[in-house]
Amino acid sequence: MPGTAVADSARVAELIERIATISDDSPGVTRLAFTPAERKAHSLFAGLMSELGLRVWTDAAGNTMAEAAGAEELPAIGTGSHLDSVPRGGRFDGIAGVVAAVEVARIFTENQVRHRHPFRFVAFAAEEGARFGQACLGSRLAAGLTSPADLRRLKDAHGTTVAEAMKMVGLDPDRVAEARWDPADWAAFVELHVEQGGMLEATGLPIGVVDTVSGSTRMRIHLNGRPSHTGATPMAGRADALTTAARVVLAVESIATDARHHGTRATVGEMSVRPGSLTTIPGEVVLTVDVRDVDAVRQRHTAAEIVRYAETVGAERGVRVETTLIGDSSPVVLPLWVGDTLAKAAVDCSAGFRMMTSGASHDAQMINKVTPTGMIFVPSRAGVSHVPEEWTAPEDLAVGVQVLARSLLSLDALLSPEERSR
Amino acid sequence: MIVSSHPFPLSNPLDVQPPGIRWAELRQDVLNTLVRNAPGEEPRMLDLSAMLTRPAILRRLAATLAERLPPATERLVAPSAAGVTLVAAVALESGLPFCLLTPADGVFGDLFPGEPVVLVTAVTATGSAVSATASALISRGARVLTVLTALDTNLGAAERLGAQGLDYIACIRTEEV
Repeated sequence: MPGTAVADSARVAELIERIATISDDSPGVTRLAFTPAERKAHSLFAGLMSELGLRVWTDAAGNTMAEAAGAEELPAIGTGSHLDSVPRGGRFDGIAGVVAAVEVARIFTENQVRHRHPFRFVAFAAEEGARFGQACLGSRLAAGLTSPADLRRLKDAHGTTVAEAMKMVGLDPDRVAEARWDPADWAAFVELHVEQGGMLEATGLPIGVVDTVSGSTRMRIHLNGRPSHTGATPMAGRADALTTAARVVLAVESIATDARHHGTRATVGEMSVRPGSLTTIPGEVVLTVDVRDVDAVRQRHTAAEIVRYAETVGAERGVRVETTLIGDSSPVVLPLWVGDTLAKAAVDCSAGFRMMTSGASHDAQMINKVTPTGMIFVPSRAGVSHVPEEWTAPEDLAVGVQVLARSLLSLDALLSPEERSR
Repeated sequence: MIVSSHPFPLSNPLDVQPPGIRWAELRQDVLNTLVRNAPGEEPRMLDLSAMLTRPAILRRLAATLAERLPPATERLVAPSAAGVTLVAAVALESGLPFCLLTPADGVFGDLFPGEPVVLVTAVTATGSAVSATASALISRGARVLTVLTALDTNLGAAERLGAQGLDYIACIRTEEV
């Protein structure tokens, strides 16, 4: 198979470094959604793909695409990821998948690899929710899941809307409907991404094939007790919102680790205490809970169990509890035949792999609404991401590139128009 | 993603989503597990095993099937060993006992004469197998209230079972697999 041409780990590492220099802050990489820095990274991607002779364009959502024509008139097989980052983040989250796409395009072009379907290499815009609170904007627009009205509603910390930010970098938010992907134009999509967890490193495997992406239910719990003097108020009869909150925090952990919750992850990530005085019993606490699960039913029941616990313990301690739902999304099973194809590609490349779940959301999850989609994970050192220390060894990334290349060619051989399953 | 500032729906936590969305997601998850790559000449094959061995899907299928059980049901019946995970899940959801028909005309579990039963199957195609099973149950003295299937591939089961005078309910109908 021609796809066995070898991925060049040095070249991959060099491109990761080159993109990492495009940053608005240090340490680490700051390349926020719809900023000139993000656009500069897109231009770099577009330039490299043009040099390879691919047809390149950026759509109204800011997603940049490069197409290598296929031998036949067929829908496209795609791969790619995103080029934006969180503030002071790492150089691999998202970028690894785009760099892999460039390397695959290079291998196919230089070796004149024949494929029936067009291959499209994609750099999505604005995947990180860090700036506007909504993740995966570029892929959501491609999948028709975000509207122009949403772009005028969502704002960053400075009050700039997505629509305004898009205009500032030369994109027209009123034309985003044109960026919507037509399912008839796509046959399949594969995203390579860093794992962002420690499973692969711990097991010494270079490849993860993702078959499920977690959902999440997010809530804000307000606990209203009775503030008063810490010295003058006896311990008995207090309505301390913070000790009540402490019980809730520990309950979240114990519920998510009990026998009914293998695979559930529940976290209290924020807590504010008022009035916040050394000598005043805390009268008010606001905390947020993020429940993630691969089981749609269990995810919602776990959230409810946490809320019921908070209400019960609040009632016992004279603390009023009010819960609001901040957000809710369901877990998704990616089409297993795509995962089968990726797993077989790993075997063909003699790369050890395991099937796994993604705890984070990804562009692939949105694109799966348009076309059957799979995901390849490569190891993250120490399992960390969204920090400057984020690291994936170039050799590991090169194995990922190899498996990705093989996967695209396998899909090309497997898929024909009448076989498309959706 | 639903983004809101509503109170959490404690009475039914699943109501964080409209029922229509919940249903569409179950259907899509089932379809995404059904088609697998095959080692042989045919590139794809229909494979129910993932749907029936992943609790995240099995639980929702069982709840959907349990909602459709006639109130008079006293026992669930699985026609074969392959359907036992689904019938067990519906039993846990509904609280009804179940039995499994074994190849040598035997029964694993109890099946008493005169019992109103529901035959639970994972998939029906032409309906010939399930029709034969229903006949066997009737000849044992059971009263078959309905045939409940998770997945109907639209190859004539509804017509065949209807002609036999059997009530038939399919949870997911699809020509796509």
